[in-house]
Amino acid sequence: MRNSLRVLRAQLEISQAELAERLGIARQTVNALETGKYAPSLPLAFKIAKVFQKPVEEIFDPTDVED
Amino acid sequence: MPADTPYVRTTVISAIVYAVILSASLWYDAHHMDSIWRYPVAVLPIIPLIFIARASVQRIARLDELHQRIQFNALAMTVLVTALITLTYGFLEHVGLPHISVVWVWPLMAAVWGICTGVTRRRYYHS
Repeated sequence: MRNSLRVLRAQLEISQAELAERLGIARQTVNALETGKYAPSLPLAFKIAKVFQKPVEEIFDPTDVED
Repeated sequence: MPADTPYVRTTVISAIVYAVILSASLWYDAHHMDSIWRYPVAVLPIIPLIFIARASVQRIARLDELHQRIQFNALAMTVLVTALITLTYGFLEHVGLPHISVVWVWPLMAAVWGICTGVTRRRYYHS
């Protein structure tokens, strides 16, 4: 699932490791999220939205998700 | 995956205890071949392995959602691959290949689990 995580993280000027710590996940998971290789669960998506102070739908783009 | 100190500590200590108990168990068996106590003494090495098993389950429970998914997929593949390998060898044993003790099934499964975890991880890790 495409997303703007990398851009948002750069705007906050934090590393993947720092973001991982804030979210309570591994750094490799942050990388998998940013590269679109992993789509987060709903609770994790809301946690991410809270960190970046943006709505979930502004961060994640579901247009390439199959119906 | 980040290092898990409680898991490593429990596993190392339990592995050492396992080696000691196993040695004692084998010694007892060699020197008390007529004793009824051979049977309970023979299974004593399982006790530290129970602690390793519990630590492994707790470790997986502490993983984040992606790594739990990786482990779930890897374990599913491991069960199927191990079943295929052991069944294949079972058929070959039937037609004459040497018998292999079931004690080797777990090391085989552990090796397959490691390979399947590596294969599954590649789907999600940035190369």
